Amino acid sequence: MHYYLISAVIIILSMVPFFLMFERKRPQAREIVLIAVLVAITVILRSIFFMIPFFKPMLAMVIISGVGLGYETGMLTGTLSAFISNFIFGQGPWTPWQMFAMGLTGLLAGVIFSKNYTYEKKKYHVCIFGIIAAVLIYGVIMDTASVLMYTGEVSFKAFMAAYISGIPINLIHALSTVIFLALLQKSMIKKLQRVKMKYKI
Amino acid sequence: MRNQFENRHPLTQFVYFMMVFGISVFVMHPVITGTAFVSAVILGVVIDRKRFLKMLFCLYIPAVIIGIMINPLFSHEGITILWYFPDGNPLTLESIIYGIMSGIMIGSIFALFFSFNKIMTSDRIMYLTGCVFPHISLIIAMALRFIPEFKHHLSEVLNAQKCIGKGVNEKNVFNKVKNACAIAQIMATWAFESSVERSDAMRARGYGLRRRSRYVPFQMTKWDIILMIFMLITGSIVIYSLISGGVYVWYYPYFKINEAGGYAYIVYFLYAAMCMLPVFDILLEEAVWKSLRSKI
Repeated sequence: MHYYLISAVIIILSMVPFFLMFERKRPQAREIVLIAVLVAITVILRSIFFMIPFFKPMLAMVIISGVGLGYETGMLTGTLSAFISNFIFGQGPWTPWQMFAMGLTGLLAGVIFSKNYTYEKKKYHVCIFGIIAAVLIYGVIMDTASVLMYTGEVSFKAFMAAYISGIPINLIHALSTVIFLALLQKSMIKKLQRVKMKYKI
Repeated sequence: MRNQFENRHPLTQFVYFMMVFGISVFVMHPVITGTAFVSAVILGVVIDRKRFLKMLFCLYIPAVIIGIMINPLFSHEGITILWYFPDGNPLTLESIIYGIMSGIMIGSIFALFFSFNKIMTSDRIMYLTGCVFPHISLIIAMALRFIPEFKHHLSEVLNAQKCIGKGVNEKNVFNKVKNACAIAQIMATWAFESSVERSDAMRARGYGLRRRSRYVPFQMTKWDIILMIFMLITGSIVIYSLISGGVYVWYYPYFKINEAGGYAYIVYFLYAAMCMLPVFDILLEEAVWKSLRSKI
């Protein structure tokens, strides 16, 4: 179980520099309120679709906020909405891992797409990124976490078993992410870019 | 009613949970893990008996059983072979013992998180994060406020859309999804616009000026400091004994545990005292309250 402790500590420490960077910048009130709104929308969407197992809209919203407002906002929306939604659904040993996976997704979405995003050119790219994020980033990180939580031993066989048994769940998650990205991408990113331009955030 | 430990300062509660989580994840010693499990169960029962017992039997004990069953399937180390699986891998006594211990540890962590969720409410976590990351904690506070507000607004928008025949209760699935998307867009537009208004109001009231204090609803009392010092001392003694090898356990290649002696008993006792601290705190306060109540 040393593995779980060490990896959880590393994961928490890896998120700290981003938070400190955000604090050092002395963010404007507008930025803070906008991130809080995005987090609240993400958490509400998760609680609406709570009844359908593994059909989660959170990743799609995190990607949208990363694409619309840049990597820092994406990262913060991801980590904080994973953290806050667990106030409703219960904190557990999985919280740091969820925060890390969501934050990483938002960060990458921002780094890859936020510079020159136009809906007409990049809509399929974002959807494909959603699939990759659900299966390879979120899925792999959470499966790794469950191996470390449950067996406490690192063996190739246990990891392979967890990844293979995780495939159906990750595919449902990827499907839900793509559906939400297809439905919300155009209008939401347009609104975010408009807010960004109009109020100079 | 909130009990005594729930009313303690957030830092005290945080130190307690970090100590117990840290030590019980750090080592899988039968006595230490067992103590953690028993004390987590007692704490859960003391805090909220009905819900805890429901969670214990529906969720935690199945998790323990899964944890017990998983390990022998993947781990074939150990020298005491009991049986061979059809694929030729051995089933060993050591891997079964390891599996049982890891199952109990998982159970103790789940049970402890029940109390964690009950005691460390969002305002307490916000206070703790606010000491290090004030802006992040502000975002958390705002998001927690926005959630009920947006839900309320969502129900208003839903009703208004239903009035003009664009509700989400349509039979046609295509129309249903289309109307739901429209409602989501209405909500998003409203949320972003009102957020900008709100932030302007914040600026007008002096957000971002230096030398601003914040409201702290928690008080650090003498007892908080005593409890924290006690936990830090006992915790470091236990961790020292684990690192220095005074208290140890081997699972592979064969099961071996430190000899039971005076030193080991002291460490076990200190760890049990640390784990049970909130239980004592709660029960003592209840006893004092009952004894002081007027008998008329």
